[in-house]
Amino acid sequence: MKKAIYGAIFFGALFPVLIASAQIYNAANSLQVTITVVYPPVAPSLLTAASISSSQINLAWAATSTNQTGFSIEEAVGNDSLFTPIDTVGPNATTYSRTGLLPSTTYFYRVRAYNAAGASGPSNEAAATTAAASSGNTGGGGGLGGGGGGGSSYVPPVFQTSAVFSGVAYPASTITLLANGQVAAVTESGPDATFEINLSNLPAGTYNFGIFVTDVQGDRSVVQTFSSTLTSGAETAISGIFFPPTITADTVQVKRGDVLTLFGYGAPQAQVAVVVNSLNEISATVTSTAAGLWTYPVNTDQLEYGGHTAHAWEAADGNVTPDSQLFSFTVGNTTVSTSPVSACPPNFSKGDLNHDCRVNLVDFSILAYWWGTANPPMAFRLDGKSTIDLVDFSILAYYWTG
Amino acid sequence: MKRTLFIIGIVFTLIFPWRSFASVMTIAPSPSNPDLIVVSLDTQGDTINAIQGHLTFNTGTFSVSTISDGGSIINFWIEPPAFSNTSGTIDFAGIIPGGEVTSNGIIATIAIVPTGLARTSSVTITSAQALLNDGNATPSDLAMVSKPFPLIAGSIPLVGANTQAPIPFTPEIGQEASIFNGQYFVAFSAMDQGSGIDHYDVLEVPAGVTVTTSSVGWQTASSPYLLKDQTLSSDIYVRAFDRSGNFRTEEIPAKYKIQKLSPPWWDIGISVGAIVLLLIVAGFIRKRRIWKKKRSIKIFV
Repeated sequence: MKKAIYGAIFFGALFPVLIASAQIYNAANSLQVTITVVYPPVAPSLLTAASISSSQINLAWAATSTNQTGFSIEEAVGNDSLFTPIDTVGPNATTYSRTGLLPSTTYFYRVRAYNAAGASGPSNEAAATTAAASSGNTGGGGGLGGGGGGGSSYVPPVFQTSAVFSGVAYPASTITLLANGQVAAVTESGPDATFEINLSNLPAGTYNFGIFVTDVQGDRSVVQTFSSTLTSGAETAISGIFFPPTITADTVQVKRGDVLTLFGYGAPQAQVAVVVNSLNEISATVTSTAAGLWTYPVNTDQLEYGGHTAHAWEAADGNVTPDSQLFSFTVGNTTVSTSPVSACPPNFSKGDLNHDCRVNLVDFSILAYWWGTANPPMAFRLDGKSTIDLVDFSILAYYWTG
Repeated sequence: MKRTLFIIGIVFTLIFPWRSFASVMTIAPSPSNPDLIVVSLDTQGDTINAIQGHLTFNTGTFSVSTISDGGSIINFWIEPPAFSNTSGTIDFAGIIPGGEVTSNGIIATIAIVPTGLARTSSVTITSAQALLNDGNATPSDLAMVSKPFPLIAGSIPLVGANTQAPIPFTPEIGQEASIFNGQYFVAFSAMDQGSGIDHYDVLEVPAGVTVTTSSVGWQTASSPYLLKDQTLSSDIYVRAFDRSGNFRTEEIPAKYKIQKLSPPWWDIGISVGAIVLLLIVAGFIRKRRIWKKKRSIKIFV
């Protein structure tokens, strides 16, 4: 209920849409991100060409977009030749001086606008004929400065398919990006917990991206997933990624009446809502430290004997995260101190069949090896039943780390 | 009043029963190419991470020529889409790590060829599962919709033919006591946006050897693939082919490099000494033979 109220308060106060955007909503993981695709600009118009001398022609045009990062000038000599890019100018330029031309020659021009997403179509064509050569002026340079110069060193801009992921994790944490279930990039967040990942080595197409964060203790968040179609030659920006906090405790079995300390990591100075799911639900809100650490002491007097779970979520800067993973603990007659049974954090253990602290293609292959066979090893029966079926694979997919 | 409302509610439910499904699996003609049949999933907002299906069709009306996973939402296939024109069945099972929310996610695309006079046909979803990405594999309440499609005689349609190679992928070396007797294997899985993955080839070569498309030793393989070189001193290449013949090659460099060490000076000394000794012995034997020969000639004389 609380979450719904928070959600309503912050609804609509999310992220600026730069050029064109689409929001996607992950119902189960409740991940809300902004996807921005930068499209190529519209073609410039009203191109004119004016002969200035026997070696110079000046161009002028009107920009029809505001998102260009430059203009590309193209030239053709005579009626039958092809247009060749000769130079680029900045995004605010609307004129260009072409020098070093031959006298008494007709040149044709057109201009394209471009940005990270690609180039526009060509503008209208404009033509001009240089003046006849006169004694003492046999071509070559002069006139208005800038531009021109033959174009031999001009390299046409290269437009590549790319995706930029950004958001807030935990301070000094590790962010892992999966593309179709395989690790595509790993990066570290800064002290302010922000991060950015730039992927530019993927072909265009539709991808299932997954992203999770590992805190300084080695605990990891749930994997948040979203589909995105990368457009050829366009930069797709996926921003506003906001992770739920990690959650763990100082023990997995606590004596009734003792204090159980729940803790984890989140964004710095974030409001972390903690919920203990039991007959008498306990909920509280705590603030994480500048390092992202949050703690909450649970008075187990209020809890009945038996198994319980706890989860957390957080809000910061008007954004609300999905729920964290569930942390399970027992209230009993004795307190059992947590002793790690393996070198891997507890969150990894369930699908990590080969105990390398990862849940990935190798574990998938091991499980697939036993698919549909009789008497698979007990350790691989993730649902505790006698066969390896789709349920076991679903559990493996949930704990996937890539 | 409450009682009246309760009774009205019960009666209403009995007269107008309805069921709201969480996900819908659909088989329908492709909107862009009616020759192709698309199996798709609408998760209706649920996050689904595992899908399985068993489909049946009437072999008297058409046969399946190809099933493609091109552009599929499935990231890893437990059972890649496969068909039998004898039994009239199509099966598939796969997972999406972390799950996916989609309104029209392609699972597989089927190309068919009419075998009879029927003008239309359909594929029945006999059984299917879609499981939630909740850590407990909770089944999503799945509706199954099968739409009829026209049977068009003619050439065999191609699924997503293009010139784009499969998406980059990352093969991994693994080892686990329960499979291959604890020997090392390589695991791999690739995706293709166009015609779909056709097969994989694997090549193991000594570390540092240059590999080309015409290198000898490529072997068609499936994952997991038991490595021949259990010392992990070979470079391992995995090549994923799509159905259009495009391929992408990924490499796992050798974990251990076998270095050719220069023999120490005493080894060289021993080797040279052995050769000299051999030459002396050979010379001695030859000399003795010649002496024996001369002696026997003298006796005869």
